[in-house]
Amino acid sequence: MLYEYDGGVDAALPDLVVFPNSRAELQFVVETAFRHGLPLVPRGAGTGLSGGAIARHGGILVTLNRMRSILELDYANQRARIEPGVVNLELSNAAAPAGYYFVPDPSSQQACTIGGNVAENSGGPHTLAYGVTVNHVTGLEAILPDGRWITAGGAALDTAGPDITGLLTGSEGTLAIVASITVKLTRRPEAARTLLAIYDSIEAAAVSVSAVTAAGMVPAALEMLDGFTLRAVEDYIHAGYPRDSAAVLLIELEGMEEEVEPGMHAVRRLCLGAGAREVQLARDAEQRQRLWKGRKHAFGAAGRIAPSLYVMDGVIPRTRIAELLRAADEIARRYEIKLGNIFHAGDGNLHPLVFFDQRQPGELERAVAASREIIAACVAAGGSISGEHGIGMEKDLLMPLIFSEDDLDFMRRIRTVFNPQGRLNPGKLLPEFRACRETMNSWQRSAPAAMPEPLSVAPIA
Amino acid sequence: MTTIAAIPSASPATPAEVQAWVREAIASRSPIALDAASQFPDRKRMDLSRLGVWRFWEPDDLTCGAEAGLTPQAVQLRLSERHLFLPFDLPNPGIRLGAALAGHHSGPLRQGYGTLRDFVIGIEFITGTGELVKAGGRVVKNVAGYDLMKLMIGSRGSFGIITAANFRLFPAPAPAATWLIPCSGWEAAARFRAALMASFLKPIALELASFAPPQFAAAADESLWLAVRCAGDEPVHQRYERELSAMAREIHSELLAIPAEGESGFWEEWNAWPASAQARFSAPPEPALRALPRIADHARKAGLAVDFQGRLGLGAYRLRFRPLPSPEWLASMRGQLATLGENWLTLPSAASPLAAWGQLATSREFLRELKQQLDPHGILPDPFGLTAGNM
Repeated sequence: MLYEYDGGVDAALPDLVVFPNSRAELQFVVETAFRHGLPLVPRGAGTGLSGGAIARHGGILVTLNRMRSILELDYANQRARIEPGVVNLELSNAAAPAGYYFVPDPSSQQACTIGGNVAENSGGPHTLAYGVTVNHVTGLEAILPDGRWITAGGAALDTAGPDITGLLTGSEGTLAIVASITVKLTRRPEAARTLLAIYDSIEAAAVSVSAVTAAGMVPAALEMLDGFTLRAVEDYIHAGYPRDSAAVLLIELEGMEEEVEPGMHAVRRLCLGAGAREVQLARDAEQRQRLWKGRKHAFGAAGRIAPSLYVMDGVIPRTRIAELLRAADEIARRYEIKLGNIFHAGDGNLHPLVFFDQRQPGELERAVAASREIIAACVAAGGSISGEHGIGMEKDLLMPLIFSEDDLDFMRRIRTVFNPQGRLNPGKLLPEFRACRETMNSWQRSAPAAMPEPLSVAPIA
Repeated sequence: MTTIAAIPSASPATPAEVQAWVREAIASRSPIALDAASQFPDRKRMDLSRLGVWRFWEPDDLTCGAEAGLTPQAVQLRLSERHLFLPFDLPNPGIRLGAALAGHHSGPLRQGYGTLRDFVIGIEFITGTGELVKAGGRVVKNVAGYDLMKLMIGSRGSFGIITAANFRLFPAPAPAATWLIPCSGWEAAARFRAALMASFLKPIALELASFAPPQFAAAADESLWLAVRCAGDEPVHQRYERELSAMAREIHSELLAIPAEGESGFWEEWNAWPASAQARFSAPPEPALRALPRIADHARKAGLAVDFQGRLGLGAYRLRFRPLPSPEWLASMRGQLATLGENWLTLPSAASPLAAWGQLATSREFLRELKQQLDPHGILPDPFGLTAGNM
């Protein structure tokens, strides 16, 4: 059943799926659920990768993609007010004639909704220079599980006191269901140049990332694909990546002509100095779009390689990329799984791709165990368990890897204010330690004995 | 302003000492104040200036972590060794990191870089129940858990006492250039802003003030002053000058270039003014330009003079009234502004005795519940009047 899944590896069956068309219908659904004590699970397009939009404990799945009106495009103030079901790319397309766009651009931007982006605080390749979703949301109107409405922020940048808009963004639907969103629109840059740096070793590509970062360059995007993944992309998209390379970096610089040209030369020098075999400049818009099409469709390309694909999400300091890739490679070898790498190198956000066949006995277990070790390696390197996919039901039990019980308790107390009975998206973001078999995630089902003990291996501050 | 001289204060040197002191405050039911000039003289004042440990610095990763008692100048000095910087130009140079975070302070560079909410990547604080809590991390992208950085920054201690924070750093900007544009009135300022926002220029500061900078004061006969700052190499400066000149001509004005040797000093002076302001005002940028003259007009009728300075591109301003207005006048002003639209927000600056006003009612209701949940003993600062009996 479609609504049993999102883009991740977990599944759970909702009792009911509803499709509110309006704020009033949403309110009716929420109040009905409240009266009957039913769980509510908000959902956008279902493209999330952490099980955030799955009804882990059953209840009502509230699919918001019919609330898809662009309520206002206010170019004078560089704002748009939209309903949560507006597809990410639709907003940018709507604002394009005026020369504006919405910056966050997840790979799923042709399908994912901005409501989902807000829930997960989504990123994308072009958030390196401009920030993730929370940096582009100024106001929210949301409904609480008891049917009360909350307004946070608005079109103005400042609110009096704490930033409730920022708190709600990325809360994965566990605090409130968003009904309207005010976002920033950004002026499209005058010039953009896309470079393809080609490498004979993945280590040299990783060193280039560190070199560009350390030089204080902030490209608009800095993406890496390893040889295995780029060949899969070439087979599928024919983006123009050299099949004989061990890795490529896709680097984009944006801004005024006077800024982009010298920046491009500086990045080129840094990449060549770090061991790039060649650095190509996209000669025209058509080639630039093809290069990016390859990156944006890479997960689709990877899906053709094996029956099952697990897209991981971890973050590390940008100086540790080469080291982490070595560690991941070693882990994959040990578990005899095939691993691909495609990621937002510029901000250290890794997306190892684990290829396996769920139909074969033991493969899921090996894939999950290997993934857990890779995430633990990210944490040990000073990183985090999620850069943009969220915690959802995929990683709730990994939260103790980076947060103490006091940290988690503080978050639970916040949730209690908004969602006192825990009926809003239950079983997400914060760990549940009493999971029954039916509500276990893939990590628990595959290796329940190996779940991490609560600890703090990486001091936060 | 009231004083707190008779109340004992604490000066903890470590987060553990802050934690112990908060626990003692809970046990003795002694509420805490963080501001030197507290609105609540019966509270114990906690001075965090001894929290001075540099937690970590990864210059090649453009990240660092520092304790709340360090000054931004000390941080900037160290970062400058590697040509890095934190883009907050605070109006009060003596302010400590913790106070800057709690107050969500920012300056003209907000136009180009955003605020602390945009580049704090991790935070540590002591809760109202005495626990040391962390959120975020040391990496520049991270969505694990609730974004407590957003909750804590700007809460002025309502939900916890910030003891340390981690930052995303920026490369030190390329050489900067600044121009002033005297402006004949509001309509001209709005036209200039519209033209600039429609261009491809991306200044790092775009300001509007109701008064002339000191070096231009003698010759000033214009009512408004615009200031634009860019960073880049010479070709970038030349393009700015060319396009800004054209925009200035459109409003029958001219560009006044600030000499390179005085450019940095100009901004220090410009940014010193808000220290004497008493209120912040924030609205969408275009309607803000309709609201500001309304505030001035309303003030004039009440016998008040008002000056302002702020972010023309963003709609965030600081206001200074002479003499201080009454609460009744403020309430009346709020009503006037409400007729122009929603989200007109004004809040006190750190040193202002003016009460907070403009908080949206629904948010306020939940802030009160949040305050009760996170500070059940009522010992943390309450600058927004969220505690029962302290409205």
